[in-house]
Amino acid sequence: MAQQKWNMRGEYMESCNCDYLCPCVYTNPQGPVTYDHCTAALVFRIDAGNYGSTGLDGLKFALVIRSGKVMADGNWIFAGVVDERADEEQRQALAAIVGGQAGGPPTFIRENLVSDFRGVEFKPIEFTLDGLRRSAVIPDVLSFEIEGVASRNRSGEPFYIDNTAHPAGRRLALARAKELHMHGFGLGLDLVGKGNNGHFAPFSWAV
Amino acid sequence: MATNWELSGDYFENCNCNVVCPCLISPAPPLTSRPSQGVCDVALAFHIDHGNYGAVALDGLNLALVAHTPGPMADGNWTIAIYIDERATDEQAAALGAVFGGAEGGPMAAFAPLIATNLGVKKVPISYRVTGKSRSAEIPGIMNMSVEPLPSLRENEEIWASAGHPIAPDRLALAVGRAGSTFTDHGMHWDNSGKNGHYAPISWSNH
Repeated sequence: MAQQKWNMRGEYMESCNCDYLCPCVYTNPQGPVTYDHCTAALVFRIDAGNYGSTGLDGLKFALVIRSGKVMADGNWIFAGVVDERADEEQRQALAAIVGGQAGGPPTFIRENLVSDFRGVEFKPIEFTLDGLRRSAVIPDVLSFEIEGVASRNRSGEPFYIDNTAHPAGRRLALARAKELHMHGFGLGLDLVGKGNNGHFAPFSWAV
Repeated sequence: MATNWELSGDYFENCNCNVVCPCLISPAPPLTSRPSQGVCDVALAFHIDHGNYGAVALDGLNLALVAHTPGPMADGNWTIAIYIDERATDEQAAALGAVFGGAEGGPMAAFAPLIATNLGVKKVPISYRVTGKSRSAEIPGIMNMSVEPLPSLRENEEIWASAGHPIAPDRLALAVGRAGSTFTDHGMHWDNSGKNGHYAPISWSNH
């Protein structure tokens, strides 16, 4: 079956349990993470997108990852969340994308790095942007709040790193977390006031 | 009245911090982080493609500056030494000493208040080479320094940071010292092979 064409662009935010700055950002991600594992939450808001003739504008989704000491070594736990506001057609489209069955970065992850896929759930996803601050809430699954590390020479802008190997895009803003909680899919993590790692960026995916 | 000057060219550096130097990526104010080894031993090499100090042309000249700081860079007490291209005329050497010593504005003026000991200027043969994405500089008997970029998975690219580094605030490549990157002079000696590096195009002026 020919793969359905799809594309989407919007905003993404992330937090993981590494100390700032997560070593993956400059090691592609072949360096050891700060602690004995990486647990990361990535939340995406689609500002404009479609899967074939199915519109995806305004919907959100999330990726949940847990790896061992070196992300590039694979053996990840991986799961997804799709916005419960999606209708049936949109749910099918986004579940296929998020679950890695429709090409693009999630498929690359699923095929190369994942040993334990824990499925896709449908949940309300709250996604808030305010200047350099970002926060996301998915009840019973995850929540985090991050703030961009301010540029030292460009007022109001964050510190950027370009040409990372990150699936969200080649330019990432650097951020630190006020808190990160992950409790879905059999994971358990609560970090508060640690200033652990975060990122945000516009994203654009297409197949 | 100060003499107007401007220059553009290329620069690289190699310090004794682990990759990535905490001065660069810390959310703390610039230069306030504790260096990886407690002290900072850094060498910076410059090649001027085009430049002038008033009516004095600076095109094609090379220069190196080394610094030792006994603690976090912002705490001051820096010891520095400057090496100027032996091809420079006395007039050019005076101009370069003023610009790179931070006496006449531009990026190096930010560092001037931190310098406690200036070991002076030596006129030496100094080479500066760009080979592919590697940079190397040599002062016979004193300095061998070479850096290569951290690998990026983006084809033919390097990883850039918008770090607000005074020397190249908007765009600085993340790099690492190649084997044999050593400095010996003025009773100081270091080998920063495998340690933090950066390079960038530079564009400076004091007006």
